[in-house]
Amino acid sequence: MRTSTVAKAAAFVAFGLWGANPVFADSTGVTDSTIKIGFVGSMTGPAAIWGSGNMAGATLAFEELNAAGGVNGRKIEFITVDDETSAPKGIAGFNRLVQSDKVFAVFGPSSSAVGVPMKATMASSGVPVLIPSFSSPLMTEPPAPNIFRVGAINDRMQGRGIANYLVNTDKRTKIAILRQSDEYGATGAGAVGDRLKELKMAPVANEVFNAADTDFTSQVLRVRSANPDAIVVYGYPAPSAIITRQLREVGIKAEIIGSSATSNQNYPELVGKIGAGTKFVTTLEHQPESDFPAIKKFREAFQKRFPDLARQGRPALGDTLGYAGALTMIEAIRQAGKDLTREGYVKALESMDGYETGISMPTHLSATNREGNTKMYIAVIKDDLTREVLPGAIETK
Amino acid sequence: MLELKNLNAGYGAVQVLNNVSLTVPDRSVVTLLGANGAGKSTTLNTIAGLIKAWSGSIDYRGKACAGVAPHSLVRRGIALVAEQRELFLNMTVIENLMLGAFTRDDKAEVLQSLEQVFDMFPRLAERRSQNTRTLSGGEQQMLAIGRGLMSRPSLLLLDEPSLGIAPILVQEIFAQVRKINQQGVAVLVVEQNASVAMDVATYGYVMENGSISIEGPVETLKADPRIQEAYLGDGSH
Amino acid sequence: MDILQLIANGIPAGVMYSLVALCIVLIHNGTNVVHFGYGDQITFAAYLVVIAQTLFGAPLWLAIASSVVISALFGLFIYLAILAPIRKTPLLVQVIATLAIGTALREGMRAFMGPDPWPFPALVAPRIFNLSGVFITSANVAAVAIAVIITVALFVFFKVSKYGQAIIAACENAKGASIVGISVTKVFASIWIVASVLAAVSAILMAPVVTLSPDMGLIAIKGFCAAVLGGFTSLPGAIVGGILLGLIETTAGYYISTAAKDVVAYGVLIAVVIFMPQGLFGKAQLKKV
Repeated sequence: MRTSTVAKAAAFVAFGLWGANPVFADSTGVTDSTIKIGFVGSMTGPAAIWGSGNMAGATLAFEELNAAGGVNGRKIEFITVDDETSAPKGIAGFNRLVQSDKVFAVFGPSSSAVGVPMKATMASSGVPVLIPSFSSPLMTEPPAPNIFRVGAINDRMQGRGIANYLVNTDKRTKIAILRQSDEYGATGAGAVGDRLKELKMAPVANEVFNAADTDFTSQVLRVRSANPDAIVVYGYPAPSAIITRQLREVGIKAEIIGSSATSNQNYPELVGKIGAGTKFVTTLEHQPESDFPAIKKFREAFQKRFPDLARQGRPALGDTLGYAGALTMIEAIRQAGKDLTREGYVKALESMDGYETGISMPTHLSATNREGNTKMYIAVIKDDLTREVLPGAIETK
Repeated sequence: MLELKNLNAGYGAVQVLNNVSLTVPDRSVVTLLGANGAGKSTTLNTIAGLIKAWSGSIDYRGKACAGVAPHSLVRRGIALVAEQRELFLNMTVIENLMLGAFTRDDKAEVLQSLEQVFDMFPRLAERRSQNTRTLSGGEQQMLAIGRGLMSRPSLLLLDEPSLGIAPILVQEIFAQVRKINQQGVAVLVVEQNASVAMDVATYGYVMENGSISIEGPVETLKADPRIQEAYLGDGSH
Repeated sequence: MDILQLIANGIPAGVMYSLVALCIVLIHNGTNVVHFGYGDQITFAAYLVVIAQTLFGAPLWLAIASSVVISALFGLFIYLAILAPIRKTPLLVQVIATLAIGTALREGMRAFMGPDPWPFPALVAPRIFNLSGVFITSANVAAVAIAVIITVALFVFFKVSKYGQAIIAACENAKGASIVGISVTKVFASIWIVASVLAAVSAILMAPVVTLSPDMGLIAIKGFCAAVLGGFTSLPGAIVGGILLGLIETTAGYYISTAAKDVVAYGVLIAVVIFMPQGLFGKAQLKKV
């Protein structure tokens, strides 16, 4: 079993092509009236920041669809598994969805730490997987025939986008990088450095921090010694908030820009007034708290459906991406038509070229591209701690 | 008066005490003799509440004591000076003594008791600020007795006060036990060193395999050939 | 002068570790149990403040007061309902019970209050003092000041008061304590109450600085390290161990490299464990058999 898994994964990597996998031609999990969709994601553990939202958003989308009569006459049966932010549990959960529950397709997972180790298992299963949020480029590089991502932006593109923005738009010349010590920080910050090199620049400082740490004085003072005019902080919300505060507290006035992990709406309050002016990457042109009509409609529906989550200040980014991802999935199922097969669903995803959910970035996929979104925006925290998305999408090439 | 009637007790499933009955009248000194492992310490620990009685009764001054927690028995006037002494070795001499008075709130009188203990055992006064760990065995025994007295007990349970102590100190300690008794405190002393115990006590019990085998006034016991052979003799037992 | 800034920030960072270490040592001295759920108890206390404010609209002082009271009761509950009944089981069972308590609190808060970090009200108005180039924040000053007050108060309590002495005595020799009239059960219950009240105090100091999230309790790992540095039996050792760890972390990261920060900090820890198994302040464990 294990050997064949590895062998199949190796085959995908070796040949870099797909389409001939016979598993795709089946319609497992589909009946005349239902489609079984599985969700595996982190509902508990540290990555629940994303997983619980992905699930809540998708739940709302599927319930709305079912209430409106379903897709092509079929209602969605949504089966969920908690990976507890653990890769082995994610793999076991995925296998359960595929082997026991016999789902048609999978939605998730929700974090790099769990998703990347799951990739080989997912690829060899042949079951179509749609990832709605996390950002490790390893999920789409090299591309696996059955694994797609929409809505989010991967860390390599994001890193390049940040470098492009700082150099081309803000005309910064002395850029310091502070990155999380894990793969998330390494990939994103590495991409910033790579792009700077292409732009004939080198970071003036390159410092590392642990996501679970609570004091970053040594990093912050090393950055201060380098006297930068812009600082990239590539990490999770909690450490990024402390770092942003500590940078300001030791008198650093340089521009600060955070990764998309800091694009949650309560982030400005986490940092506090001292963080006004901080920028961050976002893949939502309209933030979940904005009054943009489609967003507002989603927010009101979400809060009505999940009053407990509304109390927590949601919907947040993860919820929004979950909802939008599920809408994208539904659209592909609709396009695949009445005779729904996995092959047809994958073809429908591949044919998406600019599909818009109204609340997330347009999806552009193709027979050779599994990364649905390559665009990002920069937003800024204002003095009153509200957030404003700066006009103009950023080039991530 | 302390009165044990048909007391049975033990550790886990192993029975140690077998129908033990004994009496300690107020203001008296009673000794409990016997070989190592006869159940003497178990008797004291059961009276002090550290071991649960299985059956039988323990009455002190007319109130049932079986099943009462050890810290509550201290408030009823029963103080145990345990065989292992159970001192607070990381604390000073004076801290140990003051903890002996934990159940008392009469601060001025507590300080008076402290002075009495220091009068009784001047070595403790000299070492009052010293860490207990640095005391000799004899000094630790004095401290254990002193700490027991700090609760101002009406009944003092003394478990092998002579154990591991230089003979000269044994004499000193037993001299003080006599003085303690003269102040009105009843004493139940467990000893392997029968001769020194019988010098102080007026009544004695001999324990064998968890049961009382012989009892009587000390003068009678001293004349009993069985006791002379087993516990007095040449001092070896 | 970056060294002064490193010290100015390293001490408050370390003080956070000290507070955790202090209570872990306190509980361990009394019950022999290493409380692996203590960090989560701190997180729980912080969320209690947020819950009182956002769900019940309580003013900050009332929210803090209710957090302290509920946290204390919760500590008592942990002892009476969970740890006291299993006190005769192997130590491993008890330690696992503390882990389970921590996990239940952490995931409970994640489910109830959401996985995202929560903004936490600052106890003191955020201000930055510039002492000729060394920047000191009001939050850090408050944290250190309150930690000093707690330390002095605990010192006085344990050294001077009868009940403090009783706790120390019962921790050292439970049998000895019971034969002088101390209720060991009450002592252990009061240890849990004191530690849980301090969890609430730590939470209020910590959360505005280190960001409140369900995983804030991870700081307890640093608290354990500080406790080990200090010898794991000594309360002053726990305080000094925490501050030292804070200073080692900041200076090692700055002067060597931020990537090597943990290697150096934990290297020091391992060296202490190997060469000074009693820690910097530990007492020799000479228990009579």
